[in-house]
Amino acid sequence: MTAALVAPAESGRLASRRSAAWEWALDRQWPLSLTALAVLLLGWELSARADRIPDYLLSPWGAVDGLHRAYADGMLMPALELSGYRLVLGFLIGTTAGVVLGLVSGTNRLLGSLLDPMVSIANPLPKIALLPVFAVWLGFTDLTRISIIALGCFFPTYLNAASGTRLVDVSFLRVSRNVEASRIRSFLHVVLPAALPRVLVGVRISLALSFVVLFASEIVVSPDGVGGMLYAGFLNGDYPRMYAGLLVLAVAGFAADLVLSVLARRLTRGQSVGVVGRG
Amino acid sequence: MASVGRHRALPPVTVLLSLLGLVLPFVLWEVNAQAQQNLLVPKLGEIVQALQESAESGALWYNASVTLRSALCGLLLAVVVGVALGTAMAQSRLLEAVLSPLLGASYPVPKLALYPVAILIFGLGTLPVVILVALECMYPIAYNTFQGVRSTPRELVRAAANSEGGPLRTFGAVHVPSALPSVMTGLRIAVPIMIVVAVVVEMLGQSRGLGFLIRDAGRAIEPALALGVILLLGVVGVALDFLIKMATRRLVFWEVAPGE
Amino acid sequence: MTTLANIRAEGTSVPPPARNTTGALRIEGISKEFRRGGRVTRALQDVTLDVTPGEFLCVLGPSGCGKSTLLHIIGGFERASAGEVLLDGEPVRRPSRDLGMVFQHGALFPWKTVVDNVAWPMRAAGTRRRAARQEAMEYVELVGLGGFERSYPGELSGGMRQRAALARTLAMRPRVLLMDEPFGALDAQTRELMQEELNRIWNATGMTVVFITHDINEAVFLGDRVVVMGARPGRIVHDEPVLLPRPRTAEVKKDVRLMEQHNRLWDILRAEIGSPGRGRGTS
Repeated sequence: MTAALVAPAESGRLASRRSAAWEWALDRQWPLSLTALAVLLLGWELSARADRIPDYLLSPWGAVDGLHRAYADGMLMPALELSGYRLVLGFLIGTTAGVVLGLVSGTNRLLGSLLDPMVSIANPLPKIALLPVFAVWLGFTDLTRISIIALGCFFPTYLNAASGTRLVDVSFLRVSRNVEASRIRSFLHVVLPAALPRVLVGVRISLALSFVVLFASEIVVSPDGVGGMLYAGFLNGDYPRMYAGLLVLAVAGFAADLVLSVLARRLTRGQSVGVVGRG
Repeated sequence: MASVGRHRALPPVTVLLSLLGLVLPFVLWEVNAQAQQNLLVPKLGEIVQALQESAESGALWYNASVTLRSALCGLLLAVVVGVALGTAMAQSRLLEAVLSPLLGASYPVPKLALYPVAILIFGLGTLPVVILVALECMYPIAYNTFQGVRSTPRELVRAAANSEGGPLRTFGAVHVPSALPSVMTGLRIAVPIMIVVAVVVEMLGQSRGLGFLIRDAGRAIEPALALGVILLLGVVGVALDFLIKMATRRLVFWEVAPGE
Repeated sequence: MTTLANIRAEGTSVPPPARNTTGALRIEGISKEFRRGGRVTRALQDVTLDVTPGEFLCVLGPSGCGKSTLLHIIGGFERASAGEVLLDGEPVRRPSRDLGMVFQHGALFPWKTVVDNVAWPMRAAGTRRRAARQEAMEYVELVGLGGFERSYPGELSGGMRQRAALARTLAMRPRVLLMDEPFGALDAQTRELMQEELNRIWNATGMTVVFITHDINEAVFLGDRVVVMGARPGRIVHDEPVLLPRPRTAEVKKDVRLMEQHNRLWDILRAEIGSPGRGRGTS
């Protein structure tokens, strides 16, 4: 069997001329990724300096500069506070409700059969699309924004919490019955830890979603906050301001997800989603 | 192993409660609407009427077609780019090492915030919508394709190579069918995304499409129409999901559903 | 009832006295049917069995003969379609600490350390954490996992996981131990080691054991008596005592009598595997 007949994936891996350092880099991935990103940003920066890109596409340095200027102008901090307040409140309300109801729905068959259909019908409806309607009902206020953010966060967490609870390995439940553990103890020590990986997946999804909904809400419902700053910059042709807002949203989204994933890994020691009953 | 004893018939109580759960939101809504007698809280009948009027005037169909076209173009772009990326990543460790962390890190970044930039680059037509839909849908498709191609069982590849097909033939005969279920899963995830993203982007600043229609209805204080369109979107989403499930079953005919 | 004092008195060739008074099982006319769609599958048909206190009973059978279902019914985890199970005269209707089950893949909680897993029965009974852990440590040492108590199940090998699962079940102080092919997923060497370990532990505790396996040598080495089950429908086709002397050591595996019994049982088993009834039953 010659190398030509072996599928491309295998021939790449068979090449043994790779040094140990290269192997390490391929394994860890981030060194290569960051290098590529740095090269890309550098190329972009240089093109900007050489005036080879349109002026509405700021260079990386220009974006950072815009951020600094927004901070110096006193625009950044109030915007951050406003957006942060909305995001945190909406996220907390939505995910808490989602987790609690999802857990209840998963453990209690009666409540589950009542709640599940309701959530399943509402799930395909785009919650952001409710922004104009909520604006009509509740006004162009924070209440509208926070409600929609909470609504958006509710669904992924509910669905994942409910399914995580239902998918707990039967063997675990049987062990619990074997020792005649009380329902509460069984729930706290067995069901909850077993469902936790999936619950946290739902929380991560809703975290990413909350940023999207926040941005949309800050455009549709009277622009202020970070999203508003971005949009105002766009409308006024103040591109540094626009990129400042974009940078803040991107970094905040990335950082929040990173924190959550670290937290999730600590909380779910020894488990992974979908691994059930491995011998 | 863990499923014996779970096949108990559903007691009639749960079936009743499920039906109740399906119907209850509508009932509660209608009761509230009748009590309020307020234009702002439209009765179910008024919602249907608003939809009908919009349909008759042609506005509904026009905007729906705009949205559908943008969404499908975006999905197509996402499939082309996503499948290519996913396959390339599965074949090249270098590419995987470079792209995988970047894709993972950019997932929680709200791509919707790129809408203004997209307008600057692509103008005021529907192209920004297409681009943003493609951007969002690319992730699940690329990821699932990557997983699918990568998890092609070695034995299958070797068996194919044994019959001297050459790498391209092997790819078509082994990798493609093996990866197909995963790709269909990616597609199934992407389809609801495509609709939602298209509508939301339109709502932000487009002048056509269902998203625009919803925002316009809100501005004109016509919540009945806005709600009607939203409900319609939900129905469309369910229908599309069903279609994809059927398509998957046809295309991936060799997989036996669990329990058979 | 087993106590740790008895467990520590291992190594003697005289069985500890007067503790084999509990753990008598009477399985009477157990049948189990599964209804799926329009089809009815007979998993078990009229299984009747008596297990005396302190007896180590091995249930041998091919895949799909319903032996696992039978064990779950004995333990109260599943309900039979007909018949009943009596433990020391009392009917078994639901799982209890008197019938401790060791599940096929251990079913250790991956989010708890070994000692916390073993302490689970005590915690479930309301014992405080420190006291429960102290008590659990004795069982951890018993099964030979001393030093690994702070490890998580994911960090352990298959054999070690099964030891921990056994320790947890012993911590329930059951009258009867139910074991569902506990060594099935282990490699051959580990399996033999575990068999000897189980033998050692059982010698000291003397509790009633119902042990399911498809490995004839395992059944003969461990058991006082071997019951062979046939498949589809699951039923008892053969029942014979194991004549090898007790206590048993690894030397016994070279005994001619073991080989004779193995061959005899193999013929019976082969007849069952070859029969047209074998197929998608439940196990």
